[in-house]
Amino acid sequence: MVTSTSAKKHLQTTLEVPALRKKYYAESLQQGTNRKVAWCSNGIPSEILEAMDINAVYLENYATVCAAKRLSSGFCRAGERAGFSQDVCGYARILMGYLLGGEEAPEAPYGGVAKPDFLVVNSYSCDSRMGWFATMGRTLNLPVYVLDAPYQPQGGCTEDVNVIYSESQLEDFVAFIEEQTGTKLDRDKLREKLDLARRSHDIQVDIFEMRKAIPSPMGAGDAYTIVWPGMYLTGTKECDEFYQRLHSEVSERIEKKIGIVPEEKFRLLWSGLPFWYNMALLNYFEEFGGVVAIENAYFRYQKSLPSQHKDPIKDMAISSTMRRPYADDIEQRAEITLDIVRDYHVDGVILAFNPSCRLMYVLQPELKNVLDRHEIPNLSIECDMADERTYSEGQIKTRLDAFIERMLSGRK
Amino acid sequence: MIESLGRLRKDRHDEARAWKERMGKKVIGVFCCDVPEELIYAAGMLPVRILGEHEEASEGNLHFPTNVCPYPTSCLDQALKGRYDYLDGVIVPNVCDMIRAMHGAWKLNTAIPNVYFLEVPQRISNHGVEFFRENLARFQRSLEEISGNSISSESLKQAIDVYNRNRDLLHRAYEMRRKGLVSGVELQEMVLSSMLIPKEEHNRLMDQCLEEAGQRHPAGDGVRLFISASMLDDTDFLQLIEDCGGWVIADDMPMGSRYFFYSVDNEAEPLEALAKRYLARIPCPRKMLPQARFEYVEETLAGAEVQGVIIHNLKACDCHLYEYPYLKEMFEARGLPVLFFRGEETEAELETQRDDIEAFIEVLRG
Amino acid sequence: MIAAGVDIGSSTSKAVLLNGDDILCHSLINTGAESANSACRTLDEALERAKLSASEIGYIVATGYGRVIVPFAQETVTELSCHARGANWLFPSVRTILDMGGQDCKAIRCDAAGHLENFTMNDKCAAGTGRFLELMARVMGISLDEMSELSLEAKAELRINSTCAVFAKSEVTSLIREGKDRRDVLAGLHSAIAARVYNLLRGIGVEPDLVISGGIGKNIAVVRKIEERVGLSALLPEEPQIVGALGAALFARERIMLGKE
Repeated sequence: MVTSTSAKKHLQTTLEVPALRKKYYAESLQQGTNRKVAWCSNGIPSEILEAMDINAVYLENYATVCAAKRLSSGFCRAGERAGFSQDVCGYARILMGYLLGGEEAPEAPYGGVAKPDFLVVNSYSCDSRMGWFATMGRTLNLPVYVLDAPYQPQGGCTEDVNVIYSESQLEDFVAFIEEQTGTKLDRDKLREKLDLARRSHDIQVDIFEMRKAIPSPMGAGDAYTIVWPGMYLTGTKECDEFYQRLHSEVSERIEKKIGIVPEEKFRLLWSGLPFWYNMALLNYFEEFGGVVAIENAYFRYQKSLPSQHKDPIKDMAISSTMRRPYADDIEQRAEITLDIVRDYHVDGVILAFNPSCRLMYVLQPELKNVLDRHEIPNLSIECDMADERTYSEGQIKTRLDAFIERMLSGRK
Repeated sequence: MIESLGRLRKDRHDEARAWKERMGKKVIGVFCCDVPEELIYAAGMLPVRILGEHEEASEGNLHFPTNVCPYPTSCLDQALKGRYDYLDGVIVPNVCDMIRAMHGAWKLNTAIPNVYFLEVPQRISNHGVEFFRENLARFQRSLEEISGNSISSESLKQAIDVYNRNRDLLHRAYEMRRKGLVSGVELQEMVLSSMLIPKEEHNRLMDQCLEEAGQRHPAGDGVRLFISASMLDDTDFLQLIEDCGGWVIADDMPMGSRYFFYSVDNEAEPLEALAKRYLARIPCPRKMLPQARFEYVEETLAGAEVQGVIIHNLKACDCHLYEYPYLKEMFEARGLPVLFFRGEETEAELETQRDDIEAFIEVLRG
Repeated sequence: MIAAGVDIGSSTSKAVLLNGDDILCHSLINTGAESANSACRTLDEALERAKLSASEIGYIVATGYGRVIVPFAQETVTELSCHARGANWLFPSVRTILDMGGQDCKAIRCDAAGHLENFTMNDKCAAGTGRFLELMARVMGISLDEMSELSLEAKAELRINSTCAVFAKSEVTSLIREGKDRRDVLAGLHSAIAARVYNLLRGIGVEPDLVISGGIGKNIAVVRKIEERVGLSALLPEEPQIVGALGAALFARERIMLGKE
């Protein structure tokens, strides 16, 4: 009854990820009491957790796994029954459904995730995560640590004041984990993890750079999967080696001019989160010669800075002040998007409006206005990224089809 | 006197324009309780809280989706319709996703100068206080530039004094409301007008209001209610409650207790004192973790013999929505029934809300 | 060689038969529960009217909500492109189309050749749809045809505050119960609809000339209110509901000319 809606993968290396992911969750579950378990939000620096041998579970990823396995309706319903409004983040509702749903929740993928000893959440992405983690802390009666950092709407800067605060918060974070685990952070180990993580990141930046090529060597269907090791296996040799293999494969495809479709007729940018329960939409355009050449949600475009300080924590504080992980202010986001359109030879932009990812959602209309002003063809489609009950096939397909007709009409 | 407070809010744009002309000084728009207005005041400028309107946000809706918190969209809508043309600056603090988005939105789409983003830590800590203090120093320098005046430590202490006095006066009104000498609508008008006119003027007005209220007889037999709200930028909702026979005697609202409940410690170095108070003592669920929030709600509830609770959250406000099930649990554990509204900031919804409020009050009465 | 276009909407199904530049005939039926079935019926009816048999049709393009399940169509094209093409054939000066259908409302921009340039749709709520007007007509106890006539007689316009059909229903009911003049209420309703569709149009920008199609295009009162809002006179097709099917037939004709049979 449930048909596969995962994206078609065009690259061999991409196919390695599901096994890596399964292994990661299995190991995490098995190790239970051997290592302390932290439930984390995206943005918590995994290098530190790796260095301290913490069994880290990134909840947003688990929510996307639930969605991809077509279980979001059941989990969301369970979460809503537990009192969480339909307005709140789809990931949160899925996880609350998992936590509190009991008999009514679907069977958890991979047998579930390891039970946490503590929770850590970063403050500088969105509102929802803080409320969500506080709620989980309360439900599970566990400590919640909030990792804060300066917001910096204009992006990176070199303000000492910001660096000092960033550093203090990272140190507090380390102190919290040291307290929870009873062990001290080995800074040499962190340095090692950090250097490795940066190397993996830089290889990814090269790969993203290579995606400017025509024909597109790797589209969004693969991209959303291959970012996984970099996000969750950070600082490991496994991760580093994965990206080296991927880099070789992409280079080869470019050399041999192997694209995703036999004849590339139009190139698209996907702006916003994909619909995790229907990643196949990313391939939908291929039948018509269209490719989603690039996406902006996990766009890796800035190489790591050279080490800014011997002490790895100070180094991280300085680097993260100079380079922000997310472009949260509309001006920044608009600039980056226009650059992407130009550099990746994009013909049209798909603007995904994900109502429960408020952070991205609130900026999409203005982004659309910017694209309109620059006369860049764009299409708005609205669906929750995690809650598949919001997806209406007829409505979405009509819009996609009409946009494809528009893209193709210039090519008669 | 109390009636004229409502006027100050309704005619706020004309009033601000007239003040500008009369005084030859500047007016600075402010979002949220997190901005230390004392600094703006000490620079010789008038801080005014940005408020929305219950009209269709036809312009605002071109820049924001419709199923998000409607308050910021309404504010932008007002700016796009030219209602805020007199502003010489707008301060946007790091509060929540929608408010932060105001920074880019006002910069890109309005001609209002000096759209200033104020960094506010999202976690209460000593380092946070230090970081915030540094940002307030930065803020101070910008305000000096905008106003052309320098802000001395003395003038800042003086501003804090004036503001603390206002907080005391509002506290007294809060007490009087509990005794039925001031209505819920009146207190909210006092708070709203305090956010819109020069503080020393408001202090004088408050003196008069409190005197007038002191002469009254306590109101009779309204059903005693506690209100917790995410944002009510006019008095329509509270007026509706009172029309239905409810008597709001305590609250947890930004346009209520959250604005004035805690004072600034004027013994300390002023920027440090402001940093401490504005970081740790703004009881908004965005930053304050649940335990501290519930402690705050207990404080505002203290001594008020309340019969029921009404919670009004503007739609899609994550910060309040996560807290809601636990807040509800807390009230119900004390034997207080809870009525919840998901607000859209429209005129039309008031009619449907009336039915629910009437029914709720009937139940509480007997 | 006959070119055929069928437009299977959620409320009504339409077919247009084209021979060269001549519209031979069109048909319009209620869709009912089964889209595939109504596709056949609407085409059959058109063939009957034109006294033709199916074998004389060279190419069939299906459009509309039910386009993908039309069993006999050679190709599907979205109603967005079809409305652009159809409106352009009727009025070559058209650059903006407002289609107010049974259950959805579309705003479309096209170029001088009738190519789709931009569009926005409201298929999530009843604002600006036939369904909304039907509901209101029922509430007020009048027929759809009477709505326009009565509204034009209004002396005053009562403001309807509700932006949502659900709330509008109770608001209108209250006003009628209070004894307010039906005509004034209707004028207010039509104004509210115009306000909603204007918001939709603003999303893509209105460039003259403006064509209003769809069933509601027959309600002159609504059309006038929309014209007022937009500040333009609208071009109105004689048969406003078949613009989509016409566009589909034009695509079919194109395929025939390109030799695709």
